[in-house]
Amino acid sequence: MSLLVGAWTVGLILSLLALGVFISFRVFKFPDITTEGSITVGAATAAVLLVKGVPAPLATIAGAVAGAIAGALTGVLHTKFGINGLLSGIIVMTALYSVNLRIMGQSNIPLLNVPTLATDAEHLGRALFGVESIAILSWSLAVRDALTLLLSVVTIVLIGTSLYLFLRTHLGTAMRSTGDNDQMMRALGVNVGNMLILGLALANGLVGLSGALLAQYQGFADVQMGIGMVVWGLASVIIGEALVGTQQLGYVVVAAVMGSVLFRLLVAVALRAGLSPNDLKLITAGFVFAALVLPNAVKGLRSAGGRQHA
Amino acid sequence: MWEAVRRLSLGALLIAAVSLVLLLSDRGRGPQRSGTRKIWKVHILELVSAVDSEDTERGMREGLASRLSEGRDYTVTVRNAQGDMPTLSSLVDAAVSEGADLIMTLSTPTLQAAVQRVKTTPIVFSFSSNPIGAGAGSSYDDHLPNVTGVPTMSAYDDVMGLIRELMPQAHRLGTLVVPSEVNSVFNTKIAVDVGARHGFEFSILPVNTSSDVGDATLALLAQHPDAICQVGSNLTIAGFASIVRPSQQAHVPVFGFLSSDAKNGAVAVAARDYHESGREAGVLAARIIQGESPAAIPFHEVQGARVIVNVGAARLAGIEIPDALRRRAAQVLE
Repeated sequence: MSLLVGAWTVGLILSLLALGVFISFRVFKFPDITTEGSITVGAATAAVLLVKGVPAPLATIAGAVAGAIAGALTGVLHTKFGINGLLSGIIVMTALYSVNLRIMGQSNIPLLNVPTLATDAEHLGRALFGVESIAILSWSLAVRDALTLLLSVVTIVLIGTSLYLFLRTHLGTAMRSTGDNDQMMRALGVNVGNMLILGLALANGLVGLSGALLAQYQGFADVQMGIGMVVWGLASVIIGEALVGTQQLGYVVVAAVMGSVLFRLLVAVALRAGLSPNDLKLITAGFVFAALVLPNAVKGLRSAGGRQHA
Repeated sequence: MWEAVRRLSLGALLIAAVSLVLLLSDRGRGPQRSGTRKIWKVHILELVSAVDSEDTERGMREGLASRLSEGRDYTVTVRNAQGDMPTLSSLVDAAVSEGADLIMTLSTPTLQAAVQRVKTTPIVFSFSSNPIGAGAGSSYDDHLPNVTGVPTMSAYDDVMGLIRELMPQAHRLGTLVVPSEVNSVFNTKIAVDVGARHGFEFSILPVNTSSDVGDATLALLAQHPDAICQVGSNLTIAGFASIVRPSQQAHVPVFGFLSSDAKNGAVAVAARDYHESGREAGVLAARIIQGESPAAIPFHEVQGARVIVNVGAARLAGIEIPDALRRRAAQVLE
């Protein structure tokens, strides 16, 4: 059962990244490449602090803050220096590569023997159940894994809800409107530049948090862990949108999480199926394609079924 | 309300369906058949597809086959994350859920992901030069009870000896380092230490992408090293030709640590190959299958090295290969 639980956990952790990508790419329509660096900066910051003995929750938050700073920097480059959005993200991402190496002092930090949120979950599980693993029918599940999953669910629900509520406040609405029509917002007297900086800080803060959690779950931070992340985050967002078929705020937030979980589950199925390892990426691409096409096919079936809804 | 159910149903349904597939595939494996011999399921886990990891994998298979017979004693399954680190933990979970009896890892992050998630199943690593730094133990003898393996250490002494033999006057060596590869940084540090013992001083320049290798080599040559002694890394293995070309134009000989380096134009190498360390790891795995406990097997570096000389490259650099070296070399490329 650990395969299922593991895939769910990674999917939930990376759904924070998907939410970050959603904010920059969808809410602000800003092609933010910073993500690839900010997930690593979150992981690196958290890892270094954990090794120094900082309590896990604090180290995790520090990882998120580090990501937010990176995002804000991209926003500043774009708005204050007039650098093209894509380029300012590339500049910050490139710089972060060295910054991450500086933060960690090496390219990889193991977290095997330091207390992390994962070991906290383990202790909590042992205190609650008093056993290492529980058996459900013919499946056995390590309490540690179960608690980690539970912790991830709680985190995502909390953060997803706060994000939803935040985007409905005055400030959040102004942010969304900035993405939709910045000229209109400028005319209304809103400082569009500051909105973007704040938005990118929020987006990359979520990405950094995702990195900090991923490092603790996997047991190491590595300078190369951000490679390809923007693409998969974007894929999760788009899969999710295709599934719910609407742009309404609440649904889209849930959809991004669903997209990310579904994506990781599909990767796990591909791995479990024991196909030739060389085909993995081809199969993943096939899955993404199917997830994008399926909703329309289902819609087609429904209308062909005769019952038309208004 | 119904709107919400309708909107979210498709996604929820898909997630539930895929979860169910995974759950069923993960069902209890059933009791071991008694009476019949146990066939060990060996799972090889890799992070990337690259020339040297393929070499290692081939070595692992040969090492296993040198003591046991595939199909009768063990089966091999290979999984590869294709460079995506978040996939690593799923990779380990997939192996565990398929009932892996022994896990072999390539690369440091793969070893870390496995060690984090697997506490009892034996793990044999290779293709990682610094298992201590990765957290697999506190020394080569004192390590996690279910982990053992073959740290991939290049033949520093042998290569430095070769350079000294061919270039008695040499003092300054140059190498490119890849800061993002933990092995490259670690190996370079050792090369500098060992080099100092042989009376060499190193000029080191960082390189981050394969397209930078040529330019970085030119910058390195501008510091007038007597020879390039390229420490192994994924990036420079692939881009070795870009190191050799400008060096040959500047008549600076290139030395390396891998047999592929000699084929790509290095004057001489003392190779302790990934293939060889993979083979040793395969033998360790076979010993565990035959009943030894990984806890009692210390981490074990490959010994010895194959000297390969490239006469053509030596001539271009103005170096004469002495007959004694020709005879000693495992391979002479003309």
